[in-house]
Parts: sequence; structure tokens; C-alpha cells
Amino acid sequence: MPLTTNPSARPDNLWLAIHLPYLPLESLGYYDEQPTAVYTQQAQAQQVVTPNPQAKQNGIYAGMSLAAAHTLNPALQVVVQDRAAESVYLERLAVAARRWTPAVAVLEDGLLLDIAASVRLYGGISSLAEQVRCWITHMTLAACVSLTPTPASAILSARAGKMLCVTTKDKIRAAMHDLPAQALITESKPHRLLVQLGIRTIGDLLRLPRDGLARRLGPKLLTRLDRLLGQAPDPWAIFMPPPAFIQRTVLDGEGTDTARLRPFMVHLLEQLQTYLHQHRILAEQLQWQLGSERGPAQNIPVQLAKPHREACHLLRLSQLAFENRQTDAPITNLALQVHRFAPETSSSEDLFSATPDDANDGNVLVECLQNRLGLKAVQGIRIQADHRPEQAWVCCVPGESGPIPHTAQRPLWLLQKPRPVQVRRYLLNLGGQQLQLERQRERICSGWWDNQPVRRDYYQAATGALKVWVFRDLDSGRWCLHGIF
Amino acid sequence: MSLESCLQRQDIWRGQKKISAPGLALTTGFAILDHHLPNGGWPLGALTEILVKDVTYSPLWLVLPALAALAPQRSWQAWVTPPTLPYPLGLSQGGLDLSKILLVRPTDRGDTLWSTEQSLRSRACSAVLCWPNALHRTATRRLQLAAEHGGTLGICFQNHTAADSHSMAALRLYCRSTACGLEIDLIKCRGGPLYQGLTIQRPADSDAITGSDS
Repeated sequence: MPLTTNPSARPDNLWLAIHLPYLPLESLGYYDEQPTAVYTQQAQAQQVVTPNPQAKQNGIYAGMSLAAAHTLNPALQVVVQDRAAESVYLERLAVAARRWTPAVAVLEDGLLLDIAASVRLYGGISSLAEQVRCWITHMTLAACVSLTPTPASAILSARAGKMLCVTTKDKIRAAMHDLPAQALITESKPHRLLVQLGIRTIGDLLRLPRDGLARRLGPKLLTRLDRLLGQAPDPWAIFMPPPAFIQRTVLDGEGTDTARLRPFMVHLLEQLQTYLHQHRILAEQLQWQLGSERGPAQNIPVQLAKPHREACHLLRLSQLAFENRQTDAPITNLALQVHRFAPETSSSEDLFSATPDDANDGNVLVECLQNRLGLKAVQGIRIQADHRPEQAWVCCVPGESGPIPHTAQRPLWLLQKPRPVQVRRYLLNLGGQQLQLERQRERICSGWWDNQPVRRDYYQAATGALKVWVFRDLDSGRWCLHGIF
Repeated sequence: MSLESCLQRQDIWRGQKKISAPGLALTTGFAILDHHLPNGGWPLGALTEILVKDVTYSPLWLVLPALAALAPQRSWQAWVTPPTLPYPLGLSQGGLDLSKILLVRPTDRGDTLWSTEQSLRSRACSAVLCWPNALHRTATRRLQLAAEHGGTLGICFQNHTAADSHSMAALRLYCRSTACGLEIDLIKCRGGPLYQGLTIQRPADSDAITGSDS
């Protein structure tokens, strides 16, 4: 069936592979004219991964050692390969590629698109292929696009640099005939064997008996060959872009009163709730934005102690966060953004127990307090390993705890600034009352490393029912009150 | 009619016998105090005011056994605007679970009362300790109602000058430090007579730790 006569015919399977030969360079943003090469560090050796076209003209090729490349061109600019940057770059490209089809898979060096369903929309296979080629060459450098009915053959031909456009399965065999057989084998040992046997192309492989191939080159090769020709299933994981919720609503009038925003907040939160339900996720943090035509937009974050979805709960917390905010510029629009999500946790509740979940209640209280008072005003406290009493504690997230060291008895209260104690006739005097020192002394000398050293002798002292912790500074000889038991 | 027979009558009230007040109580850990309080301890689901000369020297050891006993029941124990730093090492030696402590330190006075009320009402706190500078009568009423609603032990440390003002708290104690120990006067006690001059010895330090376990 010629392509041109029936452009609206819908093929059963059609895959489009995009191979980016200069991905390591592009992901790092190197587009300049200077000879450049990306290399990897493998144990002791540095190996060139991708030279740019200018470097190739100097005779530098992939797989060459970096030292050899430098000999060929001493002015060669080199960068180390960054896999993370590559996958970020590819994911960004995958999001853009969703304009052609929702089924996009991310490969390690390109993209794979299932475009069978999009052929009619874009006016036939050849027209679609041309449009995708146009789009990708506009976005990247020297991309190779190949269309075939199986994913494996599309990837293989794109990697080999062949711009194929095959529409029916029975033509794959002929199209794959001249492609190098090495591309199907990744392990080095069968790779050498292949050369020794004189097998160069996939056509050579297909001509050989299957059982012999499986015995000599491993059964995996047969699966790959079958996938290539569409005789074995070849599933691919479809790329899902990370979720994000951004909604904006324009208010019907201007005003500085945040209480007036409530119906608009309810509307946005209900939209958010629907979105979260659809994606089966929970929101971890909300961000409100009060937009104004005269001033800069004001951001109001809403902290959640636990990921949540219910609109009424989120509304209550948002209102608490709004309470302390004053706006001078009149608010004209309101936006809600959520970028941090958590997966839905499936929990089964006991049918018969009616007791409320205490841990859950606890989180609600902390959220409530934190949203009105701020994160710093609501904290937990834990022990920090330090000999200096004033450094032996630290504020933390509520509920956090640390190891408990064994030390001599410590007071229940610690004065953040030690108070001087008067000495009259060799006796300590606190608020007109004489302190009785206990005999036991604890010497604490520590902290030379951070310029807050202490050299003190601590004593417990009592007056009536009051028991306090006092120290004598060894440097100045002064007495101070530091804690209350 | 003899005096004996007169005293047998049902409609004679001598003011000595404790009336069993509704509500639960939690042992204070001090025998003398338990003996003189209705139901034998700190009233649960109610506000207790402890008046002292200087709130910086709040006798935390007096409530420590009760706090340690309550800790496993709920998520938090809120400390709202403590006058100085509650020292984690000392508290842990006193038997408290540090991971339950929720330090709430708002800058605004209105927020102090608001957070105390929220914590008392939430049922997430087993105990709420607060140090408001001064409490108005309506504020004490709100806090008392919130404590009743949440079934929370509410303890409020105040300066002794507050003794003259009216309060809706279920229990008010006035504590003085004397040479023999801590002397406690009951200023107000719902459901029980008012005793004066109860003297409590501070437990020896090893006792404080074992006392909290029991």
C-alpha cells in the first residue's frame, strides 16, 4: 500500500525513535564552535564519550583515551559527562514531545514515541515524520528520527543514523538487513565472537539457524531479534511528567481585606482536591500568591505536617496562614500553586474502633499552631552532645528525639544568660537568701574549638525548697546562677 | 438532744468531709498533697493555677511526676511561653519523654492565650503548661472550658500577685519556699476544703526519677 494514496490509513503499530548523538554535549549546554569532547572517568582511565563535529575533524572519536585526544589537539576543551543533566534534559524534551503523542518513553540517549494513534491528526505518516523532524532539528543538534512498526527496530536504526520510514512489519526485515549486527549485542565476549564468525550485518544474523545462534551467542540475542521483527512483545514504560498544580483566579473587585478571599480560596482548593483525587496523590505544601497590579505579588506558604487532600482541612490551615498577613496594595488576583506532592498512602481503618487516631490529632494541632505562629514558634527540643550546658540542647522538629547521654544531675530550667550571684562575707546570696553549697563539684572545661570556651566549676546549692545550679568561672572567679532544679 | 445525735442528722453540714467532686484526678506523687486534694490528685480536664513569687523559679518538680505519668497517653505535652529554657537533659533525668515536648513561643500575648486554648482543646496534648503574664477572668474561663473539652491537664504558673484576682480555674495553689520546704496554701479548690500551710519536701534526686516510674 503506497503511503501517498491513503494518508488517513491508521497503522496498527508505528514507533518513532529520536536519537541524539550529541546528547552529553547538549545537556551541558556546549554548542560552541571550539573543539569540545565529553569524557568519563572509568577507574584510572579517562575515555572520550562524545566529541563535537569540530573535534571529530581532528580525528578524535568516541572510545579514545583522553590523553590521546589531547595529543591530537592540545587545545581540546573537555568536560566530564553528567548523567543526571542528561536525564533532566531528556525529560524536558519528553514533556515537549507530548505534543505529538501522550505515549512517550525516555531512552538513555533519546526518545521513543508511539505515534500510531497520531498519524491521522497530522495528515499521514510522511507528513507527521516531516513535522517531527522539523521540530527536533529546531530543538537539538543532528538528531536522527526513524519510524518503524516495532520499537526495537526504530531505536536501532535511529542509533545507526538511518532515517527510515517503514510502515508495515513485513518490510522491517529488508530495512534492517544492512544495519550492523554489533548493535544488538552489548556484552564484549560475544561481540568478539561475532567478528570472528564474520557476521557483520543483521541480515547475516537472520540468515543463520536459530538454535545455533542461541547456543553460541546466548538466548538473549534471539529475543532481541524477535523484538526487532515484531515477533515478541516489547513493552515500554511511558514517561509521566511530574505533577504540578497552578491555578489562578481573578477577583471581581479590588480590596485589601484577606477575609474577602474565602470564596475564591474555596473554589481553588476544590479544584486542587479534584486534581489530587485524579492523580491519586496528596499535597505536601501549598503556596498562595496574592497578586496586585500596583505592588509585587505576595507569597503565603502553608505548611502541612502531613500530606493532605481534603479541601476543608486545607482551607482551615490556609485561613490561619492568611490571618497574620497585611496587604497594602489592593489584591486583584489569587493563585494557588502546589509543587510538592506525596503518594497516596492506603490505610485500612478498623471498622469497630471509634477512638480517634491520636497521632493524627497531634499533627493537626502542630499544623494549626505553625500556620498561625510560624515554624520557629512551634518546636520540639532535644539533647545535643556537648559538654557545655548552654550548647547541650537544640530546637528541632516536634516529635524528634536523640540519644540520651548519662551525665551528672542537670537542672530542669536553664537560664539562657547566667545571672551573677552576689558574694557577701564568703557566702553566696540569692535574692536576700543565703545559698548552701553542696560539696560535690563538677568541672566543665570545653569549647576551645569554636571560640566560646568555658572553664567553670559547677555546684548544686539550696535555699529552702529552692535548689539551684551555680558555677564559678575559673577565669574571672565570678559566681553565676545557671539553672534551677 | 445530745451533740452526738445532732451530728448524726443528714442535714447538718460540718464542712470537713470531702464532697466527691465529679471528674478524674491524677496522683501528684506527693502523699500530703494527694491527701488534701479532692479525688486525691491534680484534677484532669481542668485548669490548675500555681502561684509563685517569681515565675522564673516555677517549681517544675512539683508537676514532674504527673507529667511523666501522663506522657504515654497522648502525642504532645505543650509548654507555652516558658519563662526560660526547659532543659532537656534535666527533664529527661526527671523521667519526661522529650519527644513529646512541644515548645510554643509566640511573640504576641493574644497568641499565647490562643495557642494555650488550642492545645488544651485539641485532645492531642496530655498536659499543657503555660506561663501567661496575667490572666483575665474571662481568659481563665475560656482555658478552663477548653481543658474540660479536651480532658487535658492544664497547669498555669502565675505570679503571686494574681492571688487577689478572680479566677475560674478548678484549683489554685499558692506556693512559698520556706526553710523546711515548699509551703502550699490552697486558695481555691473545687469540691474540697481549703487547707493552708501544707509543707512538701523536695524529693531527693534519686527519688524523683524512681517516683516518676511508678
